[in-house]
Amino acid sequence: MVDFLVVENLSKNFGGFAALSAVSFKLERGEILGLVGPNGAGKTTLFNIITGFLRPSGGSIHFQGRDITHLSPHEIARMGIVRTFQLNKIFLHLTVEENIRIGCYLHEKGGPRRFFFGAPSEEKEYLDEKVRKIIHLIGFEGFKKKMAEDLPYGDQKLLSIGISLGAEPTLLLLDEPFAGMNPVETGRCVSLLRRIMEQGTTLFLVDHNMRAVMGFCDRIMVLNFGKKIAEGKPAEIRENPEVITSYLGSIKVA
Amino acid sequence: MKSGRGSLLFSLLLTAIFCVLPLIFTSNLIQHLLVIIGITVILVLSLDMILGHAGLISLGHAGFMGLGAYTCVLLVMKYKMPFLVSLLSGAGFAGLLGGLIGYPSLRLRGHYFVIVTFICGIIFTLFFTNLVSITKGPMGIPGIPSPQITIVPGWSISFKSKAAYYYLVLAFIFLTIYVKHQLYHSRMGKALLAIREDEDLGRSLGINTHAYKVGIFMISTAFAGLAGGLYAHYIRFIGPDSFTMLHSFYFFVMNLIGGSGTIAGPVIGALLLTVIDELSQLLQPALARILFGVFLILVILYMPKGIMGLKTLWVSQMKGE
Repeated sequence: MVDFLVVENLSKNFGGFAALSAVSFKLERGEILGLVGPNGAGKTTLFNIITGFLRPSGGSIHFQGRDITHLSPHEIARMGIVRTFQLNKIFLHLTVEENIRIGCYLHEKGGPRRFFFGAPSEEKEYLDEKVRKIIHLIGFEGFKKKMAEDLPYGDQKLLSIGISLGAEPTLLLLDEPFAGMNPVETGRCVSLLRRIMEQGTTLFLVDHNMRAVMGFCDRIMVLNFGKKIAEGKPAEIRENPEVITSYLGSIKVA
Repeated sequence: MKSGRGSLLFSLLLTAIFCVLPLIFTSNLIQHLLVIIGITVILVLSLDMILGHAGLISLGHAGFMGLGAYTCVLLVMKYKMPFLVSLLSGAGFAGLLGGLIGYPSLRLRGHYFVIVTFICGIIFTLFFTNLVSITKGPMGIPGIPSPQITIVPGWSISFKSKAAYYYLVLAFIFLTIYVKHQLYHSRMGKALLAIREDEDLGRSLGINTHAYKVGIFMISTAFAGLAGGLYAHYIRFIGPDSFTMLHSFYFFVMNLIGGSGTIAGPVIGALLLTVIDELSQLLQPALARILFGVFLILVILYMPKGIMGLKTLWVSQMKGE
């Protein structure tokens, strides 16, 4: 069986600054991996490199047996890896429906026939159904015609997840999905992610909400100063002294 | 873009009106205005392909217009090639150069791309001025013949009269509108929408944003080149001063004022400002520049979506939203 996601010795230097140093880990298909660490630990850098938005200084990434280290973001998306952004990205000036419809871009057919005669009606129906299913999944039936910019922040974050579902990701990377959400919204988001996981998508998420991450993820990886300092089940991570130190600073005993 | 039977009827009515305009207005001045407006409409529509669809600003569009103009004129006058072939070759060459320039520069962040287009426009003007052996330099190329299109051997149409030229231009306007409309509804149109609204989000969804940006830029510059060829054979004289940075800026302002991202917007913008420009040539040339500036300020302050934006606002207020 081919490994799902393998990251080996990944490094990233910005000038003299080592944002990531020799980070290695594996992700199993179907599991939920959480990535935590203090601010500046290199979590978003890692996401950016895996999804092609940033070039690594060294190391490699293999997805389902294929080397994706130097692919561009759109190529990686086509292989089934989609990500959300820390600073939430949605198409603000379009409706909820239109947003998700653009998410389904990979299922639109182009070409000269489409140019002259428009999209075939089967494709329109297929996409309409797809959009309808996603809207139902994220629970936005009541306001599918609402402008994205008019949604409350928590809903905008759910919308960005909905958009990414249009691309039918095998692996979904979520950069701080719970950030800025109150407990109710966080609960809704966790339920949504669980439903997505049940539909067969593997999840890899970064967040600072320890409770949500510990309660939701199968395994957790901890980064600090660009290095992986711990990896394991939530219970193990909670007890790990190095992890505690990295968040709280070293405890001096007088 | 509206759909529906009412809108279709409206478009057909407008088309009919545009077709009979030169028959109604037979004065030389108005027919001249119609041709110039027509050519400008093609230019602004082409600029809107990148500005309205993709959200990219180009301040060098007149340079590509000039490229198409010089190419077309040289093919006709020096190499005796048929008009339509030369016209389309001029457009093709402008498109090709758009691709060569766009490929590296569209990898840059938006602001830098604007600067590149601006510099391009200036470089094109320098080429037109200094490649004297090809372009006859600052003296320009006079005596450009009126187009003659051979339909079948033995029967050709000559476009000497202003009215005839108007119909030639009108045909190409319909072509431009058709292409723009089809593009908007194509898969490329969806991709460009994503690029305009949030490029990185588009990339994360599998859209090859760079390829689409280069593609639309090439199509846009090709149509600018087409307009250039039409311009050259109408005015029958071109020189480096026909395609300056000022002209690029004018087209940009027309697009903004009319409203980018629509078909009516560029038409209205081109119409309004060309009329102002041509009329003020007769009265007080500086007036045009002043009015353009005033309009630009008004647009920036009060109607960022241009005249078409006002219309949308008015419609939604009528509906009681």
